[in-house]
Amino acid sequence: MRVGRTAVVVVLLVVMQVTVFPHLRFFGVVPDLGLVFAIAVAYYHGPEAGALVGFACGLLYDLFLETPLAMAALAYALTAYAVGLLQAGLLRAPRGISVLLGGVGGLAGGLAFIAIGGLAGVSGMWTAHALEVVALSAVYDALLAPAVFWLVRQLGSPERDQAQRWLQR
Amino acid sequence: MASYRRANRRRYVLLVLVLTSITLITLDSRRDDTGALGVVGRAAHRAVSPVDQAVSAVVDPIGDWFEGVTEGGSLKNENERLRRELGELEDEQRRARTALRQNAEFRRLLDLPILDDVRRVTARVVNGAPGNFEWTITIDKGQEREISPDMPVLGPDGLVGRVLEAWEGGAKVLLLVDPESAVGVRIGPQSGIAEGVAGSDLLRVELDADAVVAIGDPVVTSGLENSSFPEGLSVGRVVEVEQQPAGLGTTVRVEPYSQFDALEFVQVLLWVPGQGPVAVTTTTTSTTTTLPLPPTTLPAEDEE
Repeated sequence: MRVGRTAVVVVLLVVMQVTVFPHLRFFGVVPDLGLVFAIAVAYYHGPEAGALVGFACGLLYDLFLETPLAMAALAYALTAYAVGLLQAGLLRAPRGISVLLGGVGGLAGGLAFIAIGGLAGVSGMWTAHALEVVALSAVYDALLAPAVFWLVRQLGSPERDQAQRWLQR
Repeated sequence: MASYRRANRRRYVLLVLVLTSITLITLDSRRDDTGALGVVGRAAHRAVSPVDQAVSAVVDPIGDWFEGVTEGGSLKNENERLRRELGELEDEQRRARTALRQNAEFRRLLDLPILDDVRRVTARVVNGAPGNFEWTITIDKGQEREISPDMPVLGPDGLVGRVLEAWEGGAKVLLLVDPESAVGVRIGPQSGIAEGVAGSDLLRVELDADAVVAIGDPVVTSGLENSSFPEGLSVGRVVEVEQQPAGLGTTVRVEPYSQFDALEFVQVLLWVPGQGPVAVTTTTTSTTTTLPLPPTTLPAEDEE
Protein backbone atom coordinates (compact mmCIF):
# COMPACT_ATOMS: atom_id res chain seq x y z
CA MET A 1 0.00 0.00 0.00
CA ARG A 2 1.51 3.30 -1.10
CA VAL A 3 1.36 5.88 1.66
CA GLY A 4 1.14 8.93 -0.63
CA ARG A 5 -1.61 7.43 -2.76
CA THR A 6 -3.51 6.33 0.33
CA ALA A 7 -3.32 9.86 1.78
CA VAL A 8 -4.82 11.29 -1.42
CA VAL A 9 -7.63 8.71 -1.33
CA VAL A 10 -8.33 9.51 2.35
CA VAL A 11 -8.75 13.22 1.52
CA LEU A 12 -10.94 12.47 -1.50
CA LEU A 13 -13.16 10.10 0.48
CA VAL A 14 -13.69 12.62 3.27
CA VAL A 15 -14.47 15.39 0.77
CA MET A 16 -17.02 13.05 -0.88
CA GLN A 17 -18.43 12.17 2.53
CA VAL A 18 -19.11 15.81 3.45
CA THR A 19 -20.12 17.18 0.04
CA VAL A 20 -21.78 14.38 -1.96
CA PHE A 21 -23.27 11.95 0.55
CA PRO A 22 -25.42 14.48 2.46
CA HIS A 23 -27.37 14.68 -0.84
CA LEU A 24 -27.53 10.86 -1.08
CA ARG A 25 -29.14 10.00 2.24
CA PHE A 26 -30.58 6.50 2.57
CA PHE A 27 -33.54 6.46 4.98
CA GLY A 28 -32.21 9.77 6.29
CA VAL A 29 -28.69 8.61 7.10
CA VAL A 30 -25.25 9.02 5.53
CA PRO A 31 -22.69 6.19 5.44
CA ASP A 32 -19.29 6.24 7.16
CA LEU A 33 -17.11 6.07 4.08
CA GLY A 34 -13.87 6.63 6.02
CA LEU A 35 -14.73 3.87 8.46
CA VAL A 36 -15.35 1.35 5.68
CA PHE A 37 -12.06 2.38 4.05
CA ALA A 38 -10.18 1.88 7.34
CA ILE A 39 -11.85 -1.53 7.79
CA ALA A 40 -10.76 -2.56 4.29
CA VAL A 41 -7.19 -1.37 4.97
CA ALA A 42 -7.19 -3.33 8.24
CA TYR A 43 -8.43 -6.42 6.40
CA TYR A 44 -5.73 -6.32 3.73
CA HIS A 45 -2.83 -4.70 5.61
CA GLY A 46 -3.27 -5.52 9.30
CA PRO A 47 -4.59 -3.84 12.44
CA GLU A 48 -1.96 -1.07 12.78
CA ALA A 49 -2.28 0.19 9.21
CA GLY A 50 -6.08 0.07 9.64
CA ALA A 51 -5.93 2.01 12.90
CA LEU A 52 -3.65 4.70 11.40
CA VAL A 53 -5.83 5.14 8.32
CA GLY A 54 -8.98 5.08 10.48
CA PHE A 55 -7.55 7.77 12.71
CA ALA A 56 -6.66 9.95 9.70
CA CYS A 57 -10.07 9.51 8.03
CA GLY A 58 -11.92 10.11 11.28
CA LEU A 59 -9.91 13.20 12.23
CA LEU A 60 -10.46 14.84 8.83
CA TYR A 61 -14.17 14.05 9.02
CA ASP A 62 -14.27 15.42 12.58
CA LEU A 63 -13.25 18.85 11.26
CA PHE A 64 -16.67 19.07 9.60
CA LEU A 65 -18.74 17.72 12.47
CA GLU A 66 -20.11 19.53 15.48
CA THR A 67 -19.22 16.70 17.85
CA PRO A 68 -15.87 17.12 19.69
CA LEU A 69 -12.80 16.76 17.48
CA ALA A 70 -11.28 13.23 17.35
CA MET A 71 -14.49 11.42 18.31
CA ALA A 72 -14.80 9.79 14.90
CA ALA A 73 -10.99 9.37 14.78
CA LEU A 74 -11.01 7.31 17.98
CA ALA A 75 -14.07 5.25 16.96
CA TYR A 76 -12.66 4.49 13.49
CA ALA A 77 -9.15 3.63 14.80
CA LEU A 78 -10.48 1.22 17.45
CA THR A 79 -12.89 -0.46 15.02
CA ALA A 80 -10.29 -0.89 12.28
CA TYR A 81 -7.79 -2.29 14.79
CA ALA A 82 -10.36 -4.83 16.00
CA VAL A 83 -11.21 -5.85 12.42
CA GLY A 84 -7.49 -6.29 11.69
CA LEU A 85 -7.09 -8.60 14.69
CA LEU A 86 -10.18 -10.54 13.65
CA GLN A 87 -8.85 -10.94 10.11
CA ALA A 88 -5.59 -12.42 11.43
CA GLY A 89 -7.67 -15.24 12.95
CA LEU A 90 -9.46 -16.04 9.68
CA LEU A 91 -8.17 -19.15 7.93
CA ARG A 92 -9.74 -18.29 4.58
CA ALA A 93 -11.87 -15.44 3.31
CA PRO A 94 -15.51 -16.47 2.87
CA ARG A 95 -17.51 -15.10 -0.06
CA GLY A 96 -19.04 -11.72 0.61
CA ILE A 97 -16.51 -10.92 3.32
CA SER A 98 -16.47 -7.23 2.32
CA VAL A 99 -20.24 -6.83 2.80
CA LEU A 100 -20.07 -8.69 6.11
CA LEU A 101 -17.14 -6.66 7.44
CA GLY A 102 -18.63 -3.41 6.13
CA GLY A 103 -21.89 -4.11 7.96
CA VAL A 104 -20.47 -5.51 11.21
CA GLY A 105 -17.62 -2.98 11.26
CA GLY A 106 -20.05 -0.15 10.46
CA LEU A 107 -22.25 -1.23 13.35
CA ALA A 108 -19.30 -1.54 15.75
CA GLY A 109 -17.86 1.80 14.63
CA GLY A 110 -21.23 3.54 14.99
CA LEU A 111 -21.75 2.07 18.46
CA ALA A 112 -18.22 3.15 19.46
CA PHE A 113 -18.99 6.66 18.18
CA ILE A 114 -22.18 7.08 20.21
CA ALA A 115 -20.57 5.47 23.28
CA ILE A 116 -17.65 7.96 23.14
CA GLY A 117 -20.11 10.79 22.40
CA GLY A 118 -22.19 9.90 25.44
CA LEU A 119 -19.05 9.87 27.61
CA ALA A 120 -17.99 13.24 26.17
CA GLY A 121 -21.39 14.68 27.10
CA VAL A 122 -22.81 15.18 23.58
CA SER A 123 -26.64 15.41 23.60
CA GLY A 124 -28.75 12.79 21.90
CA MET A 125 -26.09 10.06 21.82
CA TRP A 126 -27.42 7.47 24.22
CA THR A 127 -30.91 7.29 22.74
CA ALA A 128 -33.00 4.77 20.82
CA HIS A 129 -32.87 7.12 17.84
CA ALA A 130 -29.06 7.00 17.81
CA LEU A 131 -29.14 3.18 17.76
CA GLU A 132 -31.56 3.26 14.84
CA VAL A 133 -29.28 5.66 12.95
CA VAL A 134 -26.24 3.44 13.62
CA ALA A 135 -28.09 0.34 12.34
CA LEU A 136 -29.26 2.08 9.13
CA SER A 137 -25.83 3.56 8.56
CA ALA A 138 -24.27 0.07 8.95
CA VAL A 139 -26.56 -1.23 6.19
CA TYR A 140 -25.41 1.64 3.95
CA ASP A 141 -21.78 0.84 4.85
CA ALA A 142 -22.30 -2.83 3.92
CA LEU A 143 -23.70 -1.82 0.50
CA LEU A 144 -20.72 0.41 -0.23
CA ALA A 145 -18.11 -2.00 1.15
CA PRO A 146 -17.44 -4.06 -2.04
CA ALA A 147 -16.48 -0.90 -3.94
CA VAL A 148 -14.29 0.37 -1.09
CA PHE A 149 -12.55 -3.02 -0.67
CA TRP A 150 -11.88 -3.02 -4.41
CA LEU A 151 -10.38 0.48 -4.08
CA VAL A 152 -8.02 -0.67 -1.31
CA ARG A 153 -6.88 -3.62 -3.46
CA GLN A 154 -5.97 -1.14 -6.22
CA LEU A 155 -3.74 0.78 -3.80
CA GLY A 156 -1.14 -1.98 -3.79
CA SER A 157 -0.49 -5.49 -2.60
CA PRO A 158 0.76 -6.35 0.90
CA GLU A 159 4.19 -7.38 -0.47
CA ARG A 160 4.93 -3.80 -1.41
CA ASP A 161 3.44 -2.48 1.76
CA GLN A 162 5.33 0.59 2.97
CA ALA A 163 3.30 0.91 6.15
CA GLN A 164 3.91 -2.72 7.03
CA ARG A 165 7.66 -2.36 6.34
CA TRP A 166 7.81 0.61 8.68
CA LEU A 167 6.03 -1.34 11.39
CA GLN A 168 8.29 -4.38 10.95
CA ARG A 169 11.57 -2.49 10.98
CA MET B 1 15.12 -8.91 19.39
CA ALA B 2 13.61 -7.51 16.21
CA SER B 3 10.28 -9.25 16.79
CA TYR B 4 10.16 -7.92 20.34
CA ARG B 5 10.65 -4.37 19.02
CA ARG B 6 8.01 -4.98 16.36
CA ALA B 7 5.43 -6.15 18.89
CA ASN B 8 6.17 -3.14 21.04
CA ARG B 9 5.80 -0.70 18.17
CA ARG B 10 2.49 -2.29 17.16
CA ARG B 11 1.11 -1.86 20.64
CA TYR B 12 2.34 1.72 20.76
CA VAL B 13 0.59 2.65 17.51
CA LEU B 14 -2.85 2.02 18.99
CA LEU B 15 -1.91 3.47 22.37
CA VAL B 16 -0.62 6.72 20.82
CA LEU B 17 -3.74 7.05 18.63
CA VAL B 18 -6.07 6.49 21.60
CA LEU B 19 -4.22 8.95 23.83
CA THR B 20 -4.07 11.58 21.04
CA SER B 21 -7.80 11.18 20.46
CA ILE B 22 -8.69 11.50 24.13
CA THR B 23 -6.48 14.60 24.44
CA LEU B 24 -8.10 16.22 21.40
CA ILE B 25 -11.64 15.38 22.54
CA THR B 26 -10.86 16.99 25.89
CA LEU B 27 -9.11 20.02 24.40
CA ASP B 28 -11.58 20.71 21.63
CA SER B 29 -12.49 24.32 22.08
CA ARG B 30 -14.05 24.89 18.68
CA ARG B 31 -17.30 25.88 20.35
CA ASP B 32 -15.75 29.15 21.56
CA ASP B 33 -14.59 29.64 17.97
CA THR B 34 -11.29 31.30 18.85
CA GLY B 35 -9.03 28.30 19.62
CA ALA B 36 -6.48 26.84 17.23
CA LEU B 37 -8.82 23.94 16.49
CA GLY B 38 -11.51 26.44 15.47
CA VAL B 39 -9.11 28.01 12.96
CA VAL B 40 -8.32 24.58 11.47
CA GLY B 41 -12.04 23.74 11.27
CA ARG B 42 -12.85 26.98 9.46
CA ALA B 43 -9.92 26.47 7.05
CA ALA B 44 -11.24 22.97 6.24
CA HIS B 45 -14.73 24.35 5.59
CA ARG B 46 -13.33 27.13 3.41
CA ALA B 47 -11.31 24.62 1.38
CA VAL B 48 -14.33 22.41 0.76
CA SER B 49 -16.82 25.26 0.12
CA PRO B 50 -16.27 25.44 -3.69
CA VAL B 51 -16.77 21.65 -3.99
CA ASP B 52 -19.90 21.90 -1.84
CA GLN B 53 -21.38 24.58 -4.08
CA ALA B 54 -20.43 22.76 -7.27
CA VAL B 55 -21.99 19.49 -6.05
CA SER B 56 -25.12 21.34 -4.97
CA ALA B 57 -25.40 23.03 -8.40
CA VAL B 58 -25.24 19.60 -10.09
CA VAL B 59 -27.30 17.53 -7.64
CA ASP B 60 -30.17 19.90 -6.80
CA PRO B 61 -31.62 20.12 -10.34
CA ILE B 62 -31.46 16.31 -10.63
CA GLY B 63 -33.32 15.97 -7.32
CA ASP B 64 -35.92 18.53 -8.47
CA TRP B 65 -36.41 16.61 -11.73
CA PHE B 66 -36.97 13.31 -9.90
CA GLU B 67 -39.40 15.02 -7.57
CA GLY B 68 -41.24 16.45 -10.57
CA VAL B 69 -41.51 13.00 -12.19
CA THR B 70 -42.60 11.13 -9.07
CA GLU B 71 -44.93 13.75 -7.63
CA GLY B 72 -46.41 15.19 -10.86
CA GLY B 73 -49.90 13.84 -10.17
CA SER B 74 -50.26 15.27 -6.72
CA LEU B 75 -48.94 18.67 -7.83
CA LYS B 76 -52.17 19.50 -9.66
CA ASN B 77 -54.32 18.93 -6.60
CA GLU B 78 -51.83 20.79 -4.46
CA ASN B 79 -51.92 23.72 -6.88
CA GLU B 80 -55.71 23.98 -6.60
CA ARG B 81 -55.58 23.80 -2.82
CA LEU B 82 -52.88 26.47 -2.69
CA ARG B 83 -54.87 28.81 -4.93
CA ARG B 84 -57.85 28.51 -2.57
CA GLU B 85 -55.65 29.16 0.42
CA LEU B 86 -54.00 32.12 -1.29
CA GLY B 87 -57.32 33.94 -1.60
CA GLU B 88 -58.04 33.51 2.11
CA LEU B 89 -54.52 34.52 3.10
CA GLU B 90 -54.46 37.69 1.02
CA ASP B 91 -57.24 39.16 3.11
CA GLU B 92 -55.51 38.11 6.31
CA GLN B 93 -52.24 39.59 5.13
CA ARG B 94 -53.82 42.98 4.44
CA ARG B 95 -55.02 43.11 8.04
CA ALA B 96 -51.65 41.85 9.29
CA ARG B 97 -49.79 44.57 7.35
CA THR B 98 -51.89 47.25 8.97
CA ALA B 99 -51.23 45.77 12.40
CA LEU B 100 -47.49 45.55 11.69
CA ARG B 101 -47.34 49.16 10.55
CA GLN B 102 -49.13 50.27 13.68
CA ASN B 103 -46.87 48.11 15.79
CA ALA B 104 -43.75 49.65 14.21
CA GLU B 105 -45.09 53.15 14.83
CA PHE B 106 -45.77 52.37 18.47
CA ARG B 107 -42.33 50.82 18.91
CA ARG B 108 -40.70 53.90 17.39
CA LEU B 109 -42.67 56.10 19.77
CA LEU B 110 -41.52 53.96 22.70
CA ASP B 111 -37.92 53.84 21.36
CA LEU B 112 -37.91 50.02 21.14
CA PRO B 113 -35.89 48.12 18.48
CA ILE B 114 -37.78 47.29 15.29
CA LEU B 115 -37.05 44.02 13.52
CA ASP B 116 -37.64 45.50 10.07
CA ASP B 117 -34.66 47.79 10.64
CA VAL B 118 -32.26 44.86 11.04
CA ARG B 119 -30.28 44.15 7.88
CA ARG B 120 -30.62 40.69 6.33
CA VAL B 121 -28.34 38.66 4.08
CA THR B 122 -30.03 36.21 1.74
CA ALA B 123 -28.11 32.96 1.25
CA ARG B 124 -28.60 29.73 -0.69
CA VAL B 125 -28.67 26.43 1.14
CA VAL B 126 -25.91 24.30 -0.41
CA ASN B 127 -25.77 21.23 1.81
CA GLY B 128 -27.34 19.35 4.67
CA ALA B 129 -25.63 17.91 7.73
CA PRO B 130 -22.36 16.07 7.00
CA GLY B 131 -23.00 13.52 9.76
CA ASN B 132 -25.82 11.50 11.27
CA PHE B 133 -25.89 13.15 14.67
CA GLU B 134 -26.43 16.77 13.87
CA TRP B 135 -29.21 18.78 12.27
CA THR B 136 -27.49 21.55 10.34
CA ILE B 137 -27.42 23.18 6.92
CA THR B 138 -24.57 24.87 5.08
CA ILE B 139 -25.21 28.18 3.32
CA ASP B 140 -23.16 29.97 0.66
CA LYS B 141 -22.56 33.29 2.46
CA GLY B 142 -20.26 33.80 5.41
CA GLN B 143 -17.74 36.14 6.99
CA GLU B 144 -17.41 38.22 3.81
CA ARG B 145 -21.04 39.31 4.32
CA GLU B 146 -20.57 40.07 8.03
CA ILE B 147 -22.20 36.82 9.11
CA SER B 148 -20.90 35.66 12.47
CA PRO B 149 -21.79 32.89 14.97
CA ASP B 150 -25.11 33.08 16.86
CA MET B 151 -26.93 35.27 14.32
CA PRO B 152 -30.58 34.23 13.80
CA VAL B 153 -31.48 32.56 10.50
CA LEU B 154 -34.97 32.83 9.00
CA GLY B 155 -36.71 30.86 6.28
CA PRO B 156 -39.84 31.77 4.33
CA ASP B 157 -42.07 30.31 7.06
CA GLY B 158 -40.30 31.34 10.22
CA LEU B 159 -37.20 30.87 12.36
CA VAL B 160 -34.79 28.21 11.06
CA GLY B 161 -32.00 28.34 13.65
CA ARG B 162 -28.80 30.20 14.36
CA VAL B 163 -25.36 30.47 12.78
CA LEU B 164 -22.95 28.02 14.35
CA GLU B 165 -19.76 28.95 12.54
CA ALA B 166 -18.92 31.20 9.63
CA TRP B 167 -15.97 31.28 7.26
CA GLU B 168 -15.15 33.10 4.01
CA GLY B 169 -17.75 31.89 1.51
CA GLY B 170 -20.07 29.97 3.79
CA ALA B 171 -21.59 29.32 7.17
CA LYS B 172 -23.09 26.43 9.08
CA VAL B 173 -26.54 26.86 10.62
CA LEU B 174 -27.77 24.85 13.60
CA LEU B 175 -31.43 23.99 13.00
CA LEU B 176 -34.06 24.37 15.73
CA VAL B 177 -34.56 20.58 15.84
CA ASP B 178 -30.92 19.81 16.79
CA PRO B 179 -30.70 18.55 20.40
CA GLU B 180 -28.08 21.25 21.06
CA SER B 181 -30.50 23.99 20.00
CA ALA B 182 -32.35 26.00 22.68
CA VAL B 183 -34.50 29.03 21.91
CA GLY B 184 -36.20 31.30 24.44
CA VAL B 185 -39.87 31.38 23.42
CA ARG B 186 -43.17 32.87 24.46
CA ILE B 187 -46.46 30.96 24.28
CA GLY B 188 -49.23 33.34 25.22
CA PRO B 189 -48.21 34.92 28.54
CA GLN B 190 -45.75 32.11 29.42
CA SER B 191 -42.11 31.95 28.48
CA GLY B 192 -39.87 28.92 28.29
CA ILE B 193 -37.06 27.29 26.32
CA ALA B 194 -37.83 25.37 23.13
CA GLU B 195 -35.30 22.56 22.79
CA GLY B 196 -34.62 20.14 19.96
CA VAL B 197 -35.08 16.43 20.61
CA ALA B 198 -32.84 13.89 18.85
CA GLY B 199 -34.72 12.22 16.01
CA SER B 200 -37.93 14.23 16.47
CA ASP B 201 -39.40 16.90 14.20
CA LEU B 202 -40.98 18.62 17.19
CA LEU B 203 -39.48 20.96 19.79
CA ARG B 204 -40.06 20.48 23.51
CA VAL B 205 -40.93 23.27 25.94
CA GLU B 206 -41.24 22.67 29.68
CA LEU B 207 -43.68 25.05 31.39
CA ASP B 208 -45.18 25.39 34.88
CA ALA B 209 -48.00 23.06 35.90
CA ASP B 210 -50.53 25.90 35.85
CA ALA B 211 -49.54 27.14 32.36
CA VAL B 212 -52.47 27.90 30.09
CA VAL B 213 -51.64 26.46 26.68
CA ALA B 214 -53.92 25.21 23.91
CA ILE B 215 -53.16 23.21 20.80
CA GLY B 216 -52.60 25.59 17.89
CA ASP B 217 -51.18 28.42 20.03
CA PRO B 218 -48.47 30.35 18.18
CA VAL B 219 -44.92 30.19 19.55
CA VAL B 220 -42.60 33.17 19.08
CA THR B 221 -39.13 34.07 20.32
CA SER B 222 -39.21 35.80 23.69
CA GLY B 223 -36.12 37.98 23.16
CA LEU B 224 -35.38 38.00 26.86
CA GLU B 225 -32.00 39.31 28.04
CA ASN B 226 -28.98 37.41 26.63
CA SER B 227 -31.21 35.59 24.18
CA SER B 228 -29.69 34.66 20.81
CA PHE B 229 -32.82 35.92 19.07
CA PRO B 230 -34.66 39.20 18.90
CA GLU B 231 -38.21 39.24 20.15
CA GLY B 232 -41.19 38.20 18.07
CA LEU B 233 -39.78 35.79 15.44
CA SER B 234 -42.25 33.06 14.52
CA VAL B 235 -41.08 29.64 15.68
CA GLY B 236 -44.03 27.29 15.28
CA ARG B 237 -47.32 26.21 16.81
CA VAL B 238 -48.28 24.01 19.73
CA VAL B 239 -49.33 20.51 18.64
CA GLU B 240 -49.30 18.60 21.92
CA VAL B 241 -49.82 19.55 25.57
CA GLU B 242 -49.07 17.01 28.25
CA GLN B 243 -49.59 17.58 31.98
CA GLN B 244 -46.91 15.83 34.02
CA PRO B 245 -48.19 13.74 36.93
CA ALA B 246 -48.17 15.20 40.47
CA GLY B 247 -48.13 18.78 39.20
CA LEU B 248 -44.53 18.57 38.02
CA GLY B 249 -45.13 20.80 35.04
CA THR B 250 -46.50 20.91 31.52
CA THR B 251 -44.62 19.51 28.53
CA VAL B 252 -45.52 21.25 25.30
CA ARG B 253 -44.54 19.96 21.84
CA VAL B 254 -44.09 22.59 19.17
CA GLU B 255 -44.12 21.99 15.43
CA PRO B 256 -41.76 24.47 13.74
CA TYR B 257 -43.26 26.45 10.85
CA SER B 258 -40.07 25.94 8.84
CA GLN B 259 -39.88 22.93 6.53
CA PHE B 260 -36.21 22.14 7.06
CA ASP B 261 -35.98 19.55 4.26
CA ALA B 262 -37.35 21.96 1.67
CA LEU B 263 -35.25 25.03 2.45
CA GLU B 264 -33.57 26.53 -0.60
CA PHE B 265 -32.94 30.09 0.53
CA VAL B 266 -32.65 31.57 4.01
CA GLN B 267 -32.02 35.02 5.43
CA VAL B 268 -29.46 35.71 8.11
CA LEU B 269 -30.41 38.57 10.43
CA LEU B 270 -27.33 40.69 11.06
CA TRP B 271 -28.13 40.75 14.74
CA VAL B 272 -25.58 40.03 17.44
CA PRO B 273 -27.01 38.59 20.67
CA GLY B 274 -26.71 41.08 23.50
CA GLN B 275 -25.70 43.90 21.13
CA GLY B 276 -28.54 44.13 18.64
CA PRO B 277 -28.33 44.97 14.94
CA VAL B 278 -24.94 45.15 13.21
CA ALA B 279 -24.16 48.75 12.27
CA VAL B 280 -23.74 49.57 8.59
CA THR B 281 -20.10 49.95 7.60
CA THR B 282 -18.86 51.92 4.62
CA THR B 283 -17.28 48.86 3.00
CA THR B 284 -20.51 46.95 2.66
CA THR B 285 -22.89 48.94 0.59
CA SER B 286 -24.57 46.08 -1.21
CA THR B 287 -24.81 43.44 1.50
CA THR B 288 -28.27 44.33 2.63
CA THR B 289 -31.36 42.91 1.10
CA THR B 290 -34.71 44.55 1.31
CA LEU B 291 -36.83 41.48 0.64
CA PRO B 292 -39.89 41.77 2.80
CA LEU B 293 -39.97 38.52 4.76
CA PRO B 294 -42.89 37.57 6.96
CA PRO B 295 -41.34 35.94 10.02
CA THR B 296 -42.10 38.80 12.30
CA THR B 297 -45.08 38.05 14.50
CA LEU B 298 -47.98 37.57 12.17
CA PRO B 299 -51.38 36.70 13.52
CA ALA B 300 -51.71 32.93 13.65
CA GLU B 301 -54.51 31.04 11.92
CA ASP B 302 -56.65 30.90 15.01
CA GLU B 303 -56.37 34.57 15.91
CA GLU B 304 -59.00 36.99 14.81
